[in-house]
Amino acid sequence: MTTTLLFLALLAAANPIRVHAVRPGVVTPQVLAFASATVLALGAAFALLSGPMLGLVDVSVSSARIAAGVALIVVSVRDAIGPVPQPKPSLVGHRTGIVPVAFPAALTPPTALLMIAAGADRGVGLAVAVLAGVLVVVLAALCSPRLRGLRPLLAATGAGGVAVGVLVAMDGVLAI
Amino acid sequence: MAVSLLGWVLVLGLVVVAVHPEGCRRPSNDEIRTSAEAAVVWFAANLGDDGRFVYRYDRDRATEEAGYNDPRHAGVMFSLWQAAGSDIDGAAETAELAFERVERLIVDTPVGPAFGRGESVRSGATALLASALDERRRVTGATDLDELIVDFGQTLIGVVNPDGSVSAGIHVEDGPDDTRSPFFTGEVMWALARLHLSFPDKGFDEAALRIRRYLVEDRDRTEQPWPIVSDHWGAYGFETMGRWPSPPPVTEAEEAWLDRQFGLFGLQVRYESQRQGGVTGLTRGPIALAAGVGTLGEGLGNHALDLHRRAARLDDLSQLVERADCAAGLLVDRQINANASTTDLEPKRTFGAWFRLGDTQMDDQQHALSALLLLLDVRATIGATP
Repeated sequence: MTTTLLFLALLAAANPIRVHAVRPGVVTPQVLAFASATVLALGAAFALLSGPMLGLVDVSVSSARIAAGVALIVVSVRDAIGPVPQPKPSLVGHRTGIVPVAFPAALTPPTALLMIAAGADRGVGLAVAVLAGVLVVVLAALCSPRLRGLRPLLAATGAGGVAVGVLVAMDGVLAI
Repeated sequence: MAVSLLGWVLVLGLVVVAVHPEGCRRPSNDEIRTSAEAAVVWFAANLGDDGRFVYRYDRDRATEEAGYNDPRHAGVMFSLWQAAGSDIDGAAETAELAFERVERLIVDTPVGPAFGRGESVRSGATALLASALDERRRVTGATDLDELIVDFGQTLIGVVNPDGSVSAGIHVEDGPDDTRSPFFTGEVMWALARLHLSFPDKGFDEAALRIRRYLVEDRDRTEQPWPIVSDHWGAYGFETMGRWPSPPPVTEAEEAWLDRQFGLFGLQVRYESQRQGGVTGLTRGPIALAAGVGTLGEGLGNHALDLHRRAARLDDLSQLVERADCAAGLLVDRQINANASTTDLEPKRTFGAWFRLGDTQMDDQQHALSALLLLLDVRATIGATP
């Protein structure tokens, strides 16, 4: 999986529009810090443990990419045609960065599976660096003024996510 | 929150349907050799007085089934000579006995002698026979059949068309026809590549290179094979050409073709390794023919040797070896061993064989044997011994 495809896939998995939809009433630096730390810590953990995890379930790195692609397609279809995510339920105060921003909005099954596949395939450092880049976009979306017309934006990003998911799955299919 | 967690469970459930655990393991060299020896025992025990092997056998009904295939007979001879080269007892003797049948079935055609029966013979049979006899020459040093081998080479040049495509049939009176085979193209290329190594001044290289170009650039477009072929014979050809004194440079188009081939071989091994009985029978179907799994091992082994020799694409090389190990593990685990065969009505028909849905065919043993021996070569060459 190329770095560009990994970036696009992680971006679709942590869909910034989805994250924006669960935006707390007040976005403070502490909220951003909690969200960043949670996403990066869990993402790094998935990447770090990718080898043992794949070994445990007897799945090759190539097939892990298929898994990540399939998960991304499913989650993106939900983005495209499902209900718009709501900011509730949530933790309170700064911890809204954890719930609902980091989870369930940004950290989705494809985020986890992509970090596992990328950690085993491209190395933990690169996987985390790309996730950090994606996080910048996600946090920018979180900080932006509330957008109107989230449904069509989610539909568009969801459709894009489906396309990227197909590419990721095919990347795994065609790999050795 | 509960809804979100349920969503995770649902998504991961769908993922599990798409991607199953792969039952891959890395068999030891001893396991691989024991398995190869058992396959040779099967050939020795299932060679009739007429020089024909048991072609197909139904284990459940304990009956031999009708049919025979000359290219596969020649392919078995190659595998047996390959086994003889690995000092496996009985392989050379069985191959010599199998050749006695062949001698009776060499016919004259307008392009030279060919192996087969009927008014039209298969070019692949002659190609595999030429490779088998060349392997015999390599293993034993015997040169008594050189004239025949070179004549076969001339015949093979005669089935290569100007565009590099290969005529699948040779009419004994009219010569090569316009039919094509997904396998014979690679078989003829490989045979000619081998013969160029053994007889470098006979001009076999030009025809082999013409086929190579066609295989890479035109074959899929003009013949439109479906499903797309993972070409183990082509892999043999590439590996052999890599051993030419002046190997042809690997072009950009060839690297792209190799990329697709590596992917096809890898995908098929990964898919096959997910067939582990139980519920996977519903999602992945029954196990593949051992002949199919064997060809995967052959393709992967040859490409691994080729990459190693070129010192190219080391990441790919390591993955190719990993998949070849997996294919070998599947073969070792699925072979009928001595214990399993004791309960059969005819143990000599089952010991050392591979069955799918109760049937075995001689090419199951042929391709499995070649794949196992090739992996031992790969390990010896690359130094990846467990």
